[in-house]
Amino acid sequence: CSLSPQQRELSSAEKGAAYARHEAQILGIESFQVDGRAASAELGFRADLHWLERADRHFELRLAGPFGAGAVELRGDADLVEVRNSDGVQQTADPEGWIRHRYGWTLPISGLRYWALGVPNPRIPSQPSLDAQGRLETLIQNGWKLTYSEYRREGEYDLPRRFEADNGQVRLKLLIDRWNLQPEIGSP
Amino acid sequence: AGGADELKRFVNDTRTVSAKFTQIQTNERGEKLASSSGEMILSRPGRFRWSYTQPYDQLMVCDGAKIWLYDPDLSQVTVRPAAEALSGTPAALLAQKSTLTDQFSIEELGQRQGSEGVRLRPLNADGDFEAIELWLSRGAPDRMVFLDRIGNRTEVAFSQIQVNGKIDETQLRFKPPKGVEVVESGGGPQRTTE
Repeated sequence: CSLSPQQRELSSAEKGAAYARHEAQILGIESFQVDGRAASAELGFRADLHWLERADRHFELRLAGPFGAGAVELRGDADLVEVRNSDGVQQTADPEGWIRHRYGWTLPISGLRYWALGVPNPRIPSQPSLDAQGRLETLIQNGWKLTYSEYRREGEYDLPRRFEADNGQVRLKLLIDRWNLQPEIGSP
Repeated sequence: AGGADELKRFVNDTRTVSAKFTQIQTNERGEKLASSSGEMILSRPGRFRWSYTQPYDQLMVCDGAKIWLYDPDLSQVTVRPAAEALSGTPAALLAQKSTLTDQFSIEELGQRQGSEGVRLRPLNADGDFEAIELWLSRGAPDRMVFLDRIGNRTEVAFSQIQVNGKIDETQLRFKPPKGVEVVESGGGPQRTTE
């Protein structure tokens, strides 16, 4: 993968400044689409993951096994989510709890919208630590610990390709195969 | 010969199939979700190799007893009993001994582009799929369509199909690479229930 231009070691002040610029730049991304994978060794699952985040703060998340087996789709916003799977359609205000109850694991849905981009949710407290290029290396927020191990250049952005999310009960490996930063252009 | 006859011919006469495949997933609004491609080897009954090379490497091997799913990027192998996976994968379906009438209701779809089709609807309602279309010609599958329970569609098209040719037996065995986590699994978002 391509390393970002500033490969040499930055001082901590330079790192802080680089991070502030990086974070502000990333927070400018209002809508995006991600194709990737989520897996948990302990819980023995591996799923294809599609996430669409819209500018109006609605999201669509799809998780499925091989050939679409066991697919589950969540659509909604921070307050209310419609969940569709083989049992039918239900509504929930707690999608993370719903997934944990139904599948025995969960995904930090409220945080993922920011964490997948490699920035903290700006509205709640967080404890970041930075890598050599002034990007997030670890982040503790909302009961989850994120560890970013690989970034990849996407146009003018350095975006995460590989990271882990751990809340003490669930440890997820997340891998992003494809970014689309203009998902709403041309879609119906 | 109708679809059901082609299916019988496939079950009775076909021992091995090797082919390339492309796979396209679309949602209920017809939007493309994902596309992938690779190669498959089928040795009836019970064994197959389903190897994706695009968009990334992903290997599925059924050695007759277990189904192994190896994701090199995640360095993870998920494994589950082969019997459990009947409704889960096209190759598992094709590897079955029976003509499937004991697990599916079979409906003729007629002929299209030179192949005969059948629609298989699982008899037990809580399988992964609403229906599976199987299109065959000269005793070999050339297209399969999986309709999952929330309206998404996975279409698998085969090409360079060789029937009853010689098969490299080592391709139908799987040994997890050193240092890779091996995990008992439900295979999809579900995890195995204790």
